[in-house]
Amino acid sequence: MGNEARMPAGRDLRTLAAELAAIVGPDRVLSDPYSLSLYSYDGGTDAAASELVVIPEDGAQLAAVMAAVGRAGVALIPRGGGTGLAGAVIPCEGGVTISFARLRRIVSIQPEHLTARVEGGVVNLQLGRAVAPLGLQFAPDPSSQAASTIGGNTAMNAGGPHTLAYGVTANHILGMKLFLADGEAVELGGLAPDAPGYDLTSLAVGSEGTMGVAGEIQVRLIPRPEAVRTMVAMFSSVEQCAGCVGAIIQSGVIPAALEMMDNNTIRAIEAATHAGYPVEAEAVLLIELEGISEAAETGLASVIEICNRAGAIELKVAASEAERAGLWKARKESGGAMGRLAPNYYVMDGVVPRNTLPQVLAAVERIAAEHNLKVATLLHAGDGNIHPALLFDSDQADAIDRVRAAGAEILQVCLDYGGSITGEHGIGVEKLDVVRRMFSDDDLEIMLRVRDVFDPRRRCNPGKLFPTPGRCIELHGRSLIEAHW
Amino acid sequence: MSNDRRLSDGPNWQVVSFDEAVRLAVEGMAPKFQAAPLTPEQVAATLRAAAAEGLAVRPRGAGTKMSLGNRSTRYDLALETGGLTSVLEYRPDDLVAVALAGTPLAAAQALFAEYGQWLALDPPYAATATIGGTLACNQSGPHRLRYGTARDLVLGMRVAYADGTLARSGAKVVKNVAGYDLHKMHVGALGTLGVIVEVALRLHPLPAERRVLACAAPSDIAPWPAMASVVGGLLRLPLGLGAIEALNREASQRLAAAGFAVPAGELLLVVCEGHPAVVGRQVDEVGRAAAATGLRTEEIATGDGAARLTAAVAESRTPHGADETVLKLSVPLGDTLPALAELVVALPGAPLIAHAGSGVVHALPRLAAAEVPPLVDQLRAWARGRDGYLVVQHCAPEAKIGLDVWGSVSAPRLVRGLKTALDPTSTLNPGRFVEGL
Repeated sequence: MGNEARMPAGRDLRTLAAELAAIVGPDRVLSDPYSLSLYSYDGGTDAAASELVVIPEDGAQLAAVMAAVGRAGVALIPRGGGTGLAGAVIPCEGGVTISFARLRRIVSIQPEHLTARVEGGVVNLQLGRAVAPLGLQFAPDPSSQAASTIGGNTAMNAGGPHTLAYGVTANHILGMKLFLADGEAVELGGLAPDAPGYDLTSLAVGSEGTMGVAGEIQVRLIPRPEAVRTMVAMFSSVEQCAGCVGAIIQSGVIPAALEMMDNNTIRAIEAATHAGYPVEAEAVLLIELEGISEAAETGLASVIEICNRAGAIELKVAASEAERAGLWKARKESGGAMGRLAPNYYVMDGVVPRNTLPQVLAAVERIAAEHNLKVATLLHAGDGNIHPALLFDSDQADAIDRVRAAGAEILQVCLDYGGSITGEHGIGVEKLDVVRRMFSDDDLEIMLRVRDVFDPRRRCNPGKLFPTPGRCIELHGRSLIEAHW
Repeated sequence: MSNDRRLSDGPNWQVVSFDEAVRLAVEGMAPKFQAAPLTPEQVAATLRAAAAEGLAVRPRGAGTKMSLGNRSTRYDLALETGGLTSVLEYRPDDLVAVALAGTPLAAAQALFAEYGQWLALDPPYAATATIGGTLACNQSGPHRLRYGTARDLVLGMRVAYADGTLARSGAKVVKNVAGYDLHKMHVGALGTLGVIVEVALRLHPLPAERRVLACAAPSDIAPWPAMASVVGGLLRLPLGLGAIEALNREASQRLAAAGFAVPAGELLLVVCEGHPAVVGRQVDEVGRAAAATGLRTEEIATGDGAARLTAAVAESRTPHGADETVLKLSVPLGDTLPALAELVVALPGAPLIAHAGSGVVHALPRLAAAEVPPLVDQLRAWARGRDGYLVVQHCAPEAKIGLDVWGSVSAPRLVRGLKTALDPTSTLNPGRFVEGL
């Protein structure tokens, strides 16, 4: 199943660079070591040196670039905002990084069809701002949304706190212009629903760039909520808090967001932001209800009742938009705040059935303790998507080994409870070691057959998603392993 | 060739009796063999053996949509999934269930309803269809407005491939991005890439209250522009409506004939659902939007009656009578009612039922077989001009000669490539899908 055998030998990068420069202009092809180093990592922990970076500015250039890279027979790595956490854009087999930095036009907005068409490099928040005056929104809201692109969101099937009510990126993509490895562009899906044939759009979303590159994307827009109510519920135990999540889910109320934070997380973000989270609570829920005002109000009333029944020690409803914004700002900046707890941290991403959260969180605590690590856990609890951050000091000789060991055990717990090894960050290169614990060789063999239909030479983002015999990446040397989630 | 082989029972299948041949025949073709596997492993073994023997396999759930697709080029073995009947896991406090593909949809819904939940699919044939068949045919109903289609509700799948491989994709949790979402590829693939044997499904809470409003036009108001305006307005509000269906005169007569008290004439049916306070607001908004355009609104069903009514709307687009053809037209969602208005003129007398907020119109003209292909050509060109599609979901078998019920597809090379990659022996439903696959 190795990809390497498919990689043609013999590259002449200088020839390729000249060819690419002829397509996009010499200043849009980067090959100096400093520039290349900037493209060697994403928001995660892995890095690999790039060989060339090319920055096309329209679909015609993108097609020509891909065709040229294809003729050269080297890897091509699409790169959006570089905010991913799984190393899905690191050039781990060398090759050419295709930056979407200049492919950021909103091609059309058609409010009458509740859709927009955008180039892959359009930033999530840029689209949000463009459609907000029409009373519309693009629902997926990863915490990286100020920098991450629709193309990257699509390739990774990004989530976000508000995907509980609205669904993840896959639920909001109607079609795309997919550029295949030879530069051929194919239109998948489109404005009208239920196109005949296989649902190639759904197949391509979340394929981590291994099938091709989405040059343009047709997204679904939804009306913005009329009212939003936000509250925080405090609990004196993680178990009670996690149990409350299950109770809310089963009640039939669907909050727009249902986030949970443990005490370590609360302390970190409160120290960083002073947003008003209670540092004495063992765990809190940040709950948001939205829609028409009746939906927000009745939802809030139901959730308050459920929280009280579940043993919440205190409830606080945001009294103003400023207070609400403060609670969310603190939540979305929790990545940076973790730096207050330890010199380094490693953010994990697993999913478990929502009714098992109390047991799973207890297991996470136990595993961290067994490896002499502290853990700060934040969850998209409503989705069962857990993000434990393992806290450590990389100056300690065996710290990274302990983190890796604990991380592997935590993912095994997720699988043992019937869950997944990734809810929104993706496999990338980060999770290649654990893919086989979730999927059998047969499962992966079928997926590879599908990949080979799109990209028979396996040049689109090679070394990602599918486990390979040898990894070519190293933990890179940034002092703080930063992450947003 | 299978024709030359001695007809005898094997470990994986039996020779069909005359009665069974009649039951299993599709469009004049009867299989020689039948298989009723009881486990996913038996499905895989049967497929492997069939592929090795060169037999063409037609998977069959409850047999409700056997006429969907082009005529099979070969049909040797009927593979019935009815033995794969079980809800393997159901976690009400996670709103997730895992079921074998042959599980009747209605039985699963009855189980979920005991816990106040449902699989938010309300397709035609809901009373008899299996879960696997519903997904393989990508069937949906009025509630797709709120909940999406099967691709939005399927979390994972186990599929038996023609070479005997049993493989999974997805997971049993509501959020997961590990691996390719092959389960979404199998939705609507009509079993041409593999046979769905097990599915993990996302469930939704049943709404506390449901009320169905009917908006109708008085004689001095043109119904379709008024309804288009109402729908356009409602879709721009975050109301969380369950469904919006538009029916022409003939379609509303069909509901009346089924025993529902609906106003005569063109109708816009709006399903308001959720918390009673939310429903109250939805009802107000619908009434206000309708009144602004001169439409009259009345409540025609609540509670279980509302569910029965939406089920009947879905059922009304099944063929009523041998010569009724079912055409599915898709257009960009804002064009649904203008398209419907044009079809009223183009297809006089045909019931027309639209998912008014989703861009889908079902038309059920009565046609002689010879009339089908030219009409399809004409309407397909019209749909293409609207960035849309036309699929013939049902027609007389003779009408299918020389007709592609699907029409052209985008990325045909990839479509063919997938078929070759996953069913290289063309064992599964040969000839029935797009591109002659």
